Amino acid sequence: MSEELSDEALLAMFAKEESRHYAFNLIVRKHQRRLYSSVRRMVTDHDETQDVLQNIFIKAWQGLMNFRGDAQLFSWLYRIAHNESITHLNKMKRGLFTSDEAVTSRLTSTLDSSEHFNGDAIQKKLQQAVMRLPTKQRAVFNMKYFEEMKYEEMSRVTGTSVGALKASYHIATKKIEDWITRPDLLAGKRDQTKRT
Amino acid sequence: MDHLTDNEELKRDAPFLNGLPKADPFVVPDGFFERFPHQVQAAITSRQTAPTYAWSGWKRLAIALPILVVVCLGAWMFTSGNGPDGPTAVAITPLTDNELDAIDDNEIFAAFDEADASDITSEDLGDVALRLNDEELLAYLENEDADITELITEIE
Repeated sequence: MSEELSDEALLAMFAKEESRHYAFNLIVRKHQRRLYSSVRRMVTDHDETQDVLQNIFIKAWQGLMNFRGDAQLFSWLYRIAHNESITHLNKMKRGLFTSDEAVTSRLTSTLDSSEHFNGDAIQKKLQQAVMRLPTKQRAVFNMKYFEEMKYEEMSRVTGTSVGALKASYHIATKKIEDWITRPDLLAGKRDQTKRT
Repeated sequence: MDHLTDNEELKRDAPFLNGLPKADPFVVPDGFFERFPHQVQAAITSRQTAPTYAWSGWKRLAIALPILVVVCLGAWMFTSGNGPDGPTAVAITPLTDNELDAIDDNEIFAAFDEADASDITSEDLGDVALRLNDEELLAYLENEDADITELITEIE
């Protein structure tokens, strides 16, 4: 969308009652893709991602009048997305499942059965490794590795210190490296390379 | 001390991971991002027009207050003994002479006969008898047409 308005312009438009709905529609259009990707990496399933994303924007609608603008709009939205994703996974754990392992199993099985996953074997193995991480560590890894966010921004989103985030990311990368370099996977990768 | 960049750290700690392309393997259904903003707007609109089930404080108070009053009243009546099972106050109004004349003595005697005679002891009656003088006793016996001679014989 070449005529995409700045967040400041959208917020000014949102402040006026007559253009509030239109402005919010533009805000959703502007930020939905990046937020979707973030939530999808956490909850895996498209339908669940859609539900979480809708809740995020409903909460944004309810809270945007009180948004003071001292933070970036996207950071504020991302913070809501982060909290909603964690809440969704905690509900999943409290509801159908009883442990982190069960949630991981559910997420990976969703990944296997999903028609909306087109990664190769290594990508699937990477996602499976990411899903084996504890929820908050997974969020940290996704923010840093996939979304390449700065630690300071991650700190604002998660409310965690930069030092703790660095440590968490370091541990997460080690775990994932160990998982995806297991011999069975490397053999599969070599086979795939030969075929291509 | 070396200050490595984030990428340098990743290359050192996880070289295999560092070499992987950062692809997004999750596929989004066609047209999702075109439909989704309308879906959000519809959800917001329906929430604004839907009836609010969250009652405000004064509505809750308006319902709770009468219930509280009834409960308190019931508790008070129960504890003070003035409830339905407790003794009830009866207003007594004095009868006029005409009303008293209209009462049949036989009805009164019949009512007394129904009462449990065992409740009345001889001591209770003795006090009454002792308070009567001779004239009153004679007047009573005459009124009852009792045979005085027979009574004296019984006493002896």
